[in-house]
This record gives sequence, C-alpha cells and structure tokens, in this order.
Amino acid sequence: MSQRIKKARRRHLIELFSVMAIYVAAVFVASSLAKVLDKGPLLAIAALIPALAIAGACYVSFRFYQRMDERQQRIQANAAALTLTVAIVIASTLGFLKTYGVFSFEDDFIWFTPFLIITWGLARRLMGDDC
Amino acid sequence: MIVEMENRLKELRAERKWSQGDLAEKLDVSRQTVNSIERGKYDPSLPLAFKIAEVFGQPIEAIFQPNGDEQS
Repeated sequence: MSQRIKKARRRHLIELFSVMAIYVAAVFVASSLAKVLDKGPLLAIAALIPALAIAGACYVSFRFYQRMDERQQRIQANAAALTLTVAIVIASTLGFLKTYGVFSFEDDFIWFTPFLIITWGLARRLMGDDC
Repeated sequence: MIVEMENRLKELRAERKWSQGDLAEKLDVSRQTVNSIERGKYDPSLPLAFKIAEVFGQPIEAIFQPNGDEQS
C-alpha cells in the first residue's frame, strides 16, 4: 500500500475517534442543558450541538474518501448508492404500512442515522471494501 | 458494452522482481488495487493506466488488451 494511503488511513482513524469523543461530550452537554432549559431558541441550539459533532464526523469521513485511491473511491460510491436505494425502499415500505394502518409505530428520526451507518457498513463489505 | 481487459501486470512485475506492495507504492494506490487489476477484477482509469505504462516503460497497449484480443 502506498505510504500516502497508509498515512491517510492513520490520520482518518485519529480524526474519527477524536470527533466521536467530541460527539459523546456533545450529547452529554446537550442532555444536561435540555434538563434545565425551557422550550425556545436556547433549547433548539442545545439540541443542535450533537448534530454539529455528527456533521464533523461526516466531514472527516468525506476527507478520507477524497484521499483514497480510485478503486477504493468506486467501492465507497457504489456502497453509498446501494445504501440510498435500501433506505428509500425501507422508508417507503414503512411509510405505506403506517399510512394504511397495517402497523402503528412512532416515527423517530433519531434511529435513521444508525440505520444508515449500519446499512452503509454492510454495503461496503458487500462491495469489497478494504479500507 | 462493458469490455473486460486483460493485462500483463503480474508478468511485468515479476520481471522486475517487484512485490505488489512495491508496485502499489510506485503507483500511489493500495496493494489491494494492484491485486484487483492483476486478477482482472478492476480496470484502471486512463490516468492510472498511463501511470502504469510509465512505471513499466511500455506503451499502454503493450500492457492492456481487451479480453480475447491477442497482441500483434
């Protein structure tokens, strides 16, 4: 493997762990603030703090994607396309099941991100990810 | 129509006693990418194909041929 790609992978792991540590801290801070703040702009800002950390994680991942070689980038792009397809099918299916009263469940968007991350991970493995 | 390519990467690499890792370093790609190209699992882009030709000091068509084509 080229030294540049090895360094990029090492840097990515450090950056990812750092931003995930920030995310954990952000969730803790937001949860603490949510207990004491009334509904309003300040509560909205507190709710956005973890989302900013997630945005940081996405930025770190995209930067790593840009440093990959062309084959690795193709694998990631194919996996992203497959993930989007699966997400569309599942979201639509659940939507129609709920709309027609087949199932009754709460829409909770907080689970959508972990679902996408897991699906993307599986799609990457399926596409032959070796990053 | 997707045309699969045959290549002489493994043969040219062996002539120079390079490992896949050595070639990957010269091409600035991962070893797995070199392996995939040699096994015909991945066709390189044009810039990468030119880089491969430059590294081996041969024209592209001497290294890559469409599947089933014989080099004249």
